[in-house]
Amino acid sequence: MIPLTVRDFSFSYPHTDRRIVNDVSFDVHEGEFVSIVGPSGCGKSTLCYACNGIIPHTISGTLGGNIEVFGKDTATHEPHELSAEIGIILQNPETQLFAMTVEEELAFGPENLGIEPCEIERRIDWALSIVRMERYRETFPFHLSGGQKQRVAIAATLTMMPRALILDEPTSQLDPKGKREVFDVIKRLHDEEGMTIMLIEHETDLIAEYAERVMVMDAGRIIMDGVPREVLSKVEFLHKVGVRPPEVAEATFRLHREGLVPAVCTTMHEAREMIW
Amino acid sequence: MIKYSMYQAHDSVFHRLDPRVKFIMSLYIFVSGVLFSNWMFLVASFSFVVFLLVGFGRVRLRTIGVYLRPIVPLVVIMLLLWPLFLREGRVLVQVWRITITSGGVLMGIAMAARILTMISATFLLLMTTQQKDIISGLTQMGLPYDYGLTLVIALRYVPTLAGMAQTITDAQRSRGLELDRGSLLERIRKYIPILAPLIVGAIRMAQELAIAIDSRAFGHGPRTYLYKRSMRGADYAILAVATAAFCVLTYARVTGYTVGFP
Amino acid sequence: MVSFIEIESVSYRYEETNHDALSGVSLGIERGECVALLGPNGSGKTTLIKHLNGLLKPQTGRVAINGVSTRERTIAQLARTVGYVFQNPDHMIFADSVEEEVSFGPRNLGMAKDDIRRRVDEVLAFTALAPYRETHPMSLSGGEKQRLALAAIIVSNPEILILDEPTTGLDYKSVQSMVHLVTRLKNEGKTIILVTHDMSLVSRIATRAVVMLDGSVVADGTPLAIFSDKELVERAYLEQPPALALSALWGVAPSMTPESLARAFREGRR
Repeated sequence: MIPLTVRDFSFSYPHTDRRIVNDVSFDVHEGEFVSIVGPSGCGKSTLCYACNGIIPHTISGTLGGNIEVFGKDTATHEPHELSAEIGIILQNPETQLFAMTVEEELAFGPENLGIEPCEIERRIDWALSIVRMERYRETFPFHLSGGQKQRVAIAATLTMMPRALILDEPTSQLDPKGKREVFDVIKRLHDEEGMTIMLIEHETDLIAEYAERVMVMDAGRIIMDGVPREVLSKVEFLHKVGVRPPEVAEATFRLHREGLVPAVCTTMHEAREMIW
Repeated sequence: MIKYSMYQAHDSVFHRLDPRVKFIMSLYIFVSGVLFSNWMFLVASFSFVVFLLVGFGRVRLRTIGVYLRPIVPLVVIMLLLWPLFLREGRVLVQVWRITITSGGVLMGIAMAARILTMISATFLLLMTTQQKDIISGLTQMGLPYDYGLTLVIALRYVPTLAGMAQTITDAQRSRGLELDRGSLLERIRKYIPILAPLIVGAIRMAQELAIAIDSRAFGHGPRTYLYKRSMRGADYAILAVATAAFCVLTYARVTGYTVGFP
Repeated sequence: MVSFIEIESVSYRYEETNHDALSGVSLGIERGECVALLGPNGSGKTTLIKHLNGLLKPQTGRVAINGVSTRERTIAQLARTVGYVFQNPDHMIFADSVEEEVSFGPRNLGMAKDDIRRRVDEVLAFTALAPYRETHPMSLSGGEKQRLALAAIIVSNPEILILDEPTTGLDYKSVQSMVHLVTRLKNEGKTIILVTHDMSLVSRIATRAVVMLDGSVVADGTPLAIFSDKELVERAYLEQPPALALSALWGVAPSMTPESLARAFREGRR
């Protein structure tokens, strides 16, 4: 059973015929690090909510096609059934945390799943070590920085032991320090824990560095799907769609167009490796 | 300074008591405050609560004062109004058409003491118990988990909403909104630019929170609790004593035993 | 020489905290400058800009706008000269239509009805929101709301503009339109103070960068000088624009944007 199977999926919100996601099909395989980029309103967030059952159970609307998470159909399984398989991290650090201490926040998910208290303790220890927040176990989350809050949100999802993680623009509200902290955690989860990652982001510089596969979404459709090197170097295409290419790509594209450099690079690493 | 949480972090007899016992004790004192109108009893009750808080809860007198400050206006009103309107007992002062009697003064003291007793009774629980323990205590006493969670979230979001209200107020004042000028009606209307974004913002936060909660398996089935407290010997003992005292007092009140006090 | 905006040894500590949010900060900003205020969250940037429109008054030291101390003015009075665009438009939008929203500020400041109408027209055209005049602000997109927030502040024609994270959370097209608008405002001679983490914004607009850390100013210079200082960049948790790193890699004149890098490369290789 693969983590995510999306087949001809479409969705429109109630009282409108406009499809915000329109006939999307793709698979995400075990251990992949996939990123989705696209302009505002292209349907990326809606797609995220559909992948863990929030759509259609918490948010209603008209569905077409189907989505399966580790073999379970999202239309017939409630979010709470899917939470142990696939976790979601949202954009706003403020509204994902609601407990009085970090420890209680992390306990909430497994408590709901009926996990034994000693096992919950063990999971909390593990999750805190992955996000490097061991010192903050008793802290009132309101007092944490944005980056710390997002890491707690990730830890609070990890205690449910999902095998895949969806992250919807997790760093958009954070400062550069917070962005790095969160990306490091995501990378660690992928590299060391073998977690399957689906990341929605605007930060194409970081995506070029970390992701294995990039999909470009526009007006509800997936219009490109490939490795970062390929997708993020198509500077003119990305401009037209409304996606910011990595700065390295912007710079090398101009020079490549004038024949001054041999290729368009998407990361500093590629730029260093470029052979003249 | 009044903070979002009344909890005073100390280690005391009260801190170590089961939250359920503290809740019930607070309730006993609160109800006694309502049942009795006798000024000596009410003043004694208030003193008793303060004694418990300071002696057994290690709470500083100053802290109690800070948290009682908001009701001082009400207490003062009680002390002033009752003597003005109740005529009973010995006349103390007669000026113009105002007659101050001993009955009025004592009733004023009684009512003031009643308010102080009732409010400070809640401190017994709130100042010596962390919020998570209050909620878990209530849940163990039978409060459905959903309500307990609603309470936790409400408490947790007080500082967040307060922060949002401050930011909105700052933003609108930066656009020239002057809240301290104008007639009463004008001033009330001036709060619309603050309330509208606040309410919309609060609703939006609630929607996002609902998604986060659903995504963490809420409603999956039978729940376990990381933290569960059981009643110990001391808890039962104190509960027994408090219950006995409350029964005696209630019986006394019901049979009119204390009514004869001046 | 007294600057247009004079910040003299300002210290400020929030209630219930045990450290200064600002400790002895001194800064002078001249008319027409476009200053980027950089530094990690908690470094005191927001506390500092709140002193500029009177939301906060210094506990020690003095803040003066055009020679007048902020202590002698109310926030509403300062709002005529200092426009503060808050980070989140949702924290200020309350009206039923874009037009009403934009008219709020001028009405508070006592502008004449005809002047208000004229300014609203001008500002809606400037921010490309004219088609949305009668629209309910809540139905605007993220980028449109950000432009609305900007419109609602520049409508009163303040000389000084404070922009708090104007591009956070916006997509590429919205960021571009915001950069475009701010550039035009800069060219109109407005004094602009920009609090941001967006390095592409800083490299394209700011003429000066001030870096704050733990309540103090730790660096003050051109964006190029600031970002070329690797040790500072690391210490203040800044992000070096990739173009600068590429300049060093290829041995061409240090450039902050892809456009200027391409130019430097061409000139370097000639």
